[in-house]
Amino acid sequence: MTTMTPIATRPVISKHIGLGTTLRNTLTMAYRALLKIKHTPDQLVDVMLQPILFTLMFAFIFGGAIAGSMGDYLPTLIPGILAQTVIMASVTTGVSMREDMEKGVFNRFKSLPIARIAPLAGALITDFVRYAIAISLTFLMGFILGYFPAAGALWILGAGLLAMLTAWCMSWIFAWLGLIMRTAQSVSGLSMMILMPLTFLSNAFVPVDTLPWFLQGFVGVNPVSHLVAAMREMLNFGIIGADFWWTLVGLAAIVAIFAPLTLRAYKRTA
Amino acid sequence: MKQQAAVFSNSASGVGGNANASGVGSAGGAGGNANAGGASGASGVGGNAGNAVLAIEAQGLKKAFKDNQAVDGIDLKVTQGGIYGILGPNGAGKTTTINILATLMRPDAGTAQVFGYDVVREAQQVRQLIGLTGQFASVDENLTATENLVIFGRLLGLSRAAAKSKAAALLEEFALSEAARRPLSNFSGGMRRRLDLAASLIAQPPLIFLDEPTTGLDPRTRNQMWETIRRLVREGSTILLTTQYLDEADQLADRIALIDHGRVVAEDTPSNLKASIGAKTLDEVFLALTGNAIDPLCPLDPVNPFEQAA
Ligand SMILES: Nc1ncnc2c1ncn2[C@@H]1O[C@H](COP(=O)(O)OP(=O)(O)O)[C@@H](O)[C@H]1O
Ligand SMILES: [Mg+2]
Repeated sequence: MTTMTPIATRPVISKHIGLGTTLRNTLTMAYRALLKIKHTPDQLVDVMLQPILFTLMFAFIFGGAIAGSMGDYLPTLIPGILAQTVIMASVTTGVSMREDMEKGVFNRFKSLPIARIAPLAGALITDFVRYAIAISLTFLMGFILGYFPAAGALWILGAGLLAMLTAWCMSWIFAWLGLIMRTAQSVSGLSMMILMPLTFLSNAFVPVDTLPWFLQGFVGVNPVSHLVAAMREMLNFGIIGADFWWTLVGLAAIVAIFAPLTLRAYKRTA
Repeated sequence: MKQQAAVFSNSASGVGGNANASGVGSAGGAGGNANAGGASGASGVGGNAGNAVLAIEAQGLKKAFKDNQAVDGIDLKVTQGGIYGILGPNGAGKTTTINILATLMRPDAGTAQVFGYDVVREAQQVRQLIGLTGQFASVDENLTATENLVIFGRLLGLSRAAAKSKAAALLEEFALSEAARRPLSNFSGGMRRRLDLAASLIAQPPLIFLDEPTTGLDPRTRNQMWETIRRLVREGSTILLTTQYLDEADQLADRIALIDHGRVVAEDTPSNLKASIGAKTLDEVFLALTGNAIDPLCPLDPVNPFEQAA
């Protein structure tokens, strides 16, 4: 057994945490989040159940009423479900961040000489895995019910990437809520209250012209409508239209507003 | 048992300096504080304490939560080597004090240094010198013991292989090898505490904070924990521990700060504390100084300190 020698004056230690260390810390935190998914796969249930359940429900229940037949409804429905699924999945980011911070292990992270941003950045990276699962499942449900997007495989990939980008950008909103709210339940409660109207008061599931005039106005400016319209154009016609660009503008705005808010709230707590 | 040679040399997180490097503005005048307790553990340190920087120095720390003054002007001087005990009843401000010293919280007023580094302005340096075992489990419930330790090792800059072997060595040392692959939900309270402590030792920090390390443990497990703590001190670590158990402070600590309502009401070696008022036990000391008994049997504070203060 060797003993430590006492420290005569304060030891020389570097204060700086370089980019390399930041990156390594972030990847380690992402790895940790992946391990957590591996050990508690039930946290994926919402991500998986949502597209399966909603696709089945809407296709069989409303397909006939809205589009005449289920087959005719699917090209409208699947992009709608896709949008709803990724947006719901992005809520989980905030909820799990809140849960994590309520645990003692977060305090230990804060006491370690690591990049402050690593726990947040790691979580945001791992979320891509969840989004990818949710998006693949939605397309899979579509295939099973007989929806093969007319534009082909590359456009499926493109729409999937747009959906993933949307989820990631939206997750900044919920990460921020997760940081400023006191409990995980309140985060998920509030998020659902914002998202339910946002997804249902859009063109995601029904033709807009069947809605009363005062809803049509809202649906027209609802960013979810632009996303859904953009994905429909991509998947069914292989076109990138105005809605695609509006979606990107909307997402950029979200990140421009909420990323700084999140980082500021995060710095204050972590 | 792990070799703890040069304190800083194997933490890869940019800790280049060596113990004798000077010229960084020493916290000067820190000497003269040789461990008066002279008690059990401080071997190999006591002789040098005269010219060593203080492990912890705090002046007038204050922290309030809304109108609840949790820490109300705490001063501390902790020399290197040995065990320093913070003894006080539930709600006295022990955890808040540790959280400030471990850079988790900013004090409202006052300053504190760890090995001469300011805990607010130089938090990043302080974090390279400390290990923290919080009052509540500070490991990941969902992961296995090995995964927990490997992740902490990776975060501290160890390579994958080094992190793995360090994890294995620590689990061995803390008699947790059997359970290495099991999820923590199957762990007993004592196993959790041991894993918690093991996780604080990965970087072999010279200062270790233990917040109520034995609360809720049965007597046998508590004795094991005491042995582990004493061994860390023999290897040269400095330990700051909090407790609400009088006998724990009495048996383990070289010096004790009695705190109540966020203030230090007395500070000395256990025997001096008792001698000073002719008391036989620390309980009598505490009673004489505060008019209250420390009662560790009262239910634990329901406030979860990890919840964010507004
Ligand atoms: N995060 C917090 N938010 C609000 N009050 C807190 C918080 N942490 C501690 N307190 C309060 O501060 C006081 C001191 O708490 P603490 O430092 O945990 O004491 P101890 O560790 O000695 O039991 C208590 O009254 C406690 O309720
Ligand atoms: Mg406490």
